[in-house]
Amino acid sequence: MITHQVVGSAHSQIRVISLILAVLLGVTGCRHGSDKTQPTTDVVTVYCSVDEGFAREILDRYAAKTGVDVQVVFDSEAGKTTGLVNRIMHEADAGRPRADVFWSSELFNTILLARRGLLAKYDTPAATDIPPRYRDPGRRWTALAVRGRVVAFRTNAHDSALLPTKWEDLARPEFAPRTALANPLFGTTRGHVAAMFALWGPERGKAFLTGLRENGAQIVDGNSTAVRRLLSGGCAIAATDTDDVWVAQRREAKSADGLSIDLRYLDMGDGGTLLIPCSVAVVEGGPHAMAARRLVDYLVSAEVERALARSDSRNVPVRKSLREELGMEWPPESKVSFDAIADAMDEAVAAAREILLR
Amino acid sequence: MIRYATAISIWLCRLVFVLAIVWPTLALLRKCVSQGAAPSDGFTFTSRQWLLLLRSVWMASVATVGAMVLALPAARVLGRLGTLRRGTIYVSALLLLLLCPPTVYAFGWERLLPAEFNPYVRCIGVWMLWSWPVPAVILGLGWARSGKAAYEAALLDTTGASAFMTTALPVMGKYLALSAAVLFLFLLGEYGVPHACALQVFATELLGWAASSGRAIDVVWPALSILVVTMAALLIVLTLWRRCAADEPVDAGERPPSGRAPIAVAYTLILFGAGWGVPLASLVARMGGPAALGAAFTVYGRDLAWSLGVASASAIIAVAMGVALAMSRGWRSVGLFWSLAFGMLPGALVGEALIAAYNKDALWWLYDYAPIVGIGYLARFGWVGVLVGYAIVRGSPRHLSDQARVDGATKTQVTIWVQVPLHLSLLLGGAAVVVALSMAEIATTSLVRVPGYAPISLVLVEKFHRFEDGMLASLSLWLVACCLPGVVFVLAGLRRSRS
Repeated sequence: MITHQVVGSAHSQIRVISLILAVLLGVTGCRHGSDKTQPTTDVVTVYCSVDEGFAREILDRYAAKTGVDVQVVFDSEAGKTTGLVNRIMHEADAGRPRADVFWSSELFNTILLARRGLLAKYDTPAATDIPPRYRDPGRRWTALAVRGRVVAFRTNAHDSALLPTKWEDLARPEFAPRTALANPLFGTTRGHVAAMFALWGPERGKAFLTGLRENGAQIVDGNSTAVRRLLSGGCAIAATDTDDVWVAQRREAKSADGLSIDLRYLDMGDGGTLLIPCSVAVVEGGPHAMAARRLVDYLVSAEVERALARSDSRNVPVRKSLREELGMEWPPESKVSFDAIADAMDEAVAAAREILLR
Repeated sequence: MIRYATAISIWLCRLVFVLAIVWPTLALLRKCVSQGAAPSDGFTFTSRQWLLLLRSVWMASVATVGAMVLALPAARVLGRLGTLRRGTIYVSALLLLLLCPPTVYAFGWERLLPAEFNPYVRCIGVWMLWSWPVPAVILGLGWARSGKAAYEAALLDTTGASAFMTTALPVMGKYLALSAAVLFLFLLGEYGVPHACALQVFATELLGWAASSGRAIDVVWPALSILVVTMAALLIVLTLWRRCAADEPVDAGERPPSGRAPIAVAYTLILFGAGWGVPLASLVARMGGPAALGAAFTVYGRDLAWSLGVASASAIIAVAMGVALAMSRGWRSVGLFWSLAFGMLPGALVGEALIAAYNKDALWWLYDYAPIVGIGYLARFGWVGVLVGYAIVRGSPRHLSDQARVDGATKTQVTIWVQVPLHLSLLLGGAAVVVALSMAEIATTSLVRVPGYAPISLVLVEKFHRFEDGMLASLSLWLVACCLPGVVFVLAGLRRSRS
């Protein structure tokens, strides 16, 4: 009797669970069903380390304009760019690249991918007005929309007066203990340390890292975490990118907590700071080569560079005509070549790991 | 026909266990060996790794002790109730608090507290205010089973406080140890709250290593230190559990008094208000009006639906897998050990194992789409389903199973038609916990994300980094809304069991 009662109620319960399961499977399965009905050229997969908020808007606009199904994998803040670069390499090693387009927030890892033969040659007609410094001679990547490496600080008189003028000074005892910078194994900080090695040579580069360590600089999760540390009073100087400061400034304009921050371009030693462009490339062997080319044409266009300049990120266009149109000034730029930075990457990362992160 | 279908379903569920947990473990080991078994920096731990490990251990320890202290009055109330089936409002409050992702609370407190507030205190405080229902339930169970009787006996000789401290607590030693172990191990590998407090702990650093390293051993080796700590904690709990005397068998006809200690109830509800209401109110205040909720849904509704769908499907499969494993003694032991051991690995290492197992040309249909994320959730939180399955099969009244067997039911039929319906609330509770944990998962998801959608936990972190307060608050509230059905399901299950 007891068994019959339990079995009776069990039937209705299992019907309810089955219904829920069916709905869920339907929800998660419908997308794949629709994929199968679409021609393959109407899909393009982008690996993107440009900040999600800005990139999504641009890619959505492209999808709406062309009807292409743009599928995106973004990178996390902690592993910015490096995570996606490793993913592209893992997938190539496994014999099946998944990405069609790599849209990176920096250039140096893109150069390394190109050197490994993981990027396809494509001479996009949309990049003819981009200066030669920002185009690969082998046409495997195109760079645009730069951000600068800067130090951020709180705008009270005390902090503003105690700022270095050169990057190398940051390791000195009067600055390092008050400084936070992102982990140099990832993102733009990785490229920045490599640029120091390229420009100064390994000995000076290692001395800089040693100074940072011995004088107590803080290593944090990412650039925005460094800015957050600055806002919370955990440090007085944050080594970061321009966009992190612009975005934090916008937030501050909305809040009433009384904090305000500003930025300063420090000198790498050759008259300017490191400017880091975003980069766009077609992935070698990606499943949708034609769709990838069309998307690259769009991503390197003046329209997208203008959109990035007008976004909260405020990337400075490499196209002079756009800078004039938008009234933006070119920041003081270091002369170190991108290839030299990519050359120095391995040694710089190894040194950072050995000196700063042990 | 039904018998064959049932048998196939059970074996499919066991296959899921192999695919989500066993195969990735073996694939990771194989990858380590094939890439060269030595880490790049040799078999040493750097001082930074030691520092992060110690930091993680002390933070998790302080939060564990704090949460257990906070939980004591609530445990007493639950102990007096005797069973979760009584006291719906009270249980709802605990579930509501526990089933919301802790990162949401972290974001809420971050916006409420002054910018210069100590991030360590904030992180530990968020953990404590979120996790105290776990020890409350476990200690409540211990109080009902053994603590209360010892306490009442001791009251004849001493004061209430003294009786509680010197008699009741030692009797409940194994429940204290179990609570401490569950909390400590979970918080040790927790990624979301420290990250939201801009803190670096072992779990956050390990994700960086996993994302940047091309060699699996470079991630596996540092993660071994966490494993050693985990094993040590488990060993201590096991030893304590064995040393403690078995509970006195409770008379089936005995029902605990329904009266509740009003002060303890009030304290618990205040704690709920502080842990749930205050941070969420802070987010609502920062949201920028109800329109922001709509705007967030317009932009991220698809990602939210996908995240919820994949998490829910994983949760249902996890509990089905747990029940299927629990049906056979051999599968039960292996399943319990392996899923617990794998689930306690840092999320980044689990992600690395999944990449090693599924990044194959022939498996594109799985690796390129949502199933890989679902497998990630199963790998990380499948142990919840296995524990639920174990509790259902081992905790059912024997006389009912025997009666069903006399009526001609097979062992499988007894489990499916008698034991599972009897513990429907437990089943739904387990599924709700898996959904909640999956929706908040960051470390594994970061490594196995797919092009089709952006997991909502990662979108939230991105909004946090971009200082997008309105969107962050709105999405957090949507996440809370997604967890509410879990609470409703569990309560419905409890009500049904009660009737």
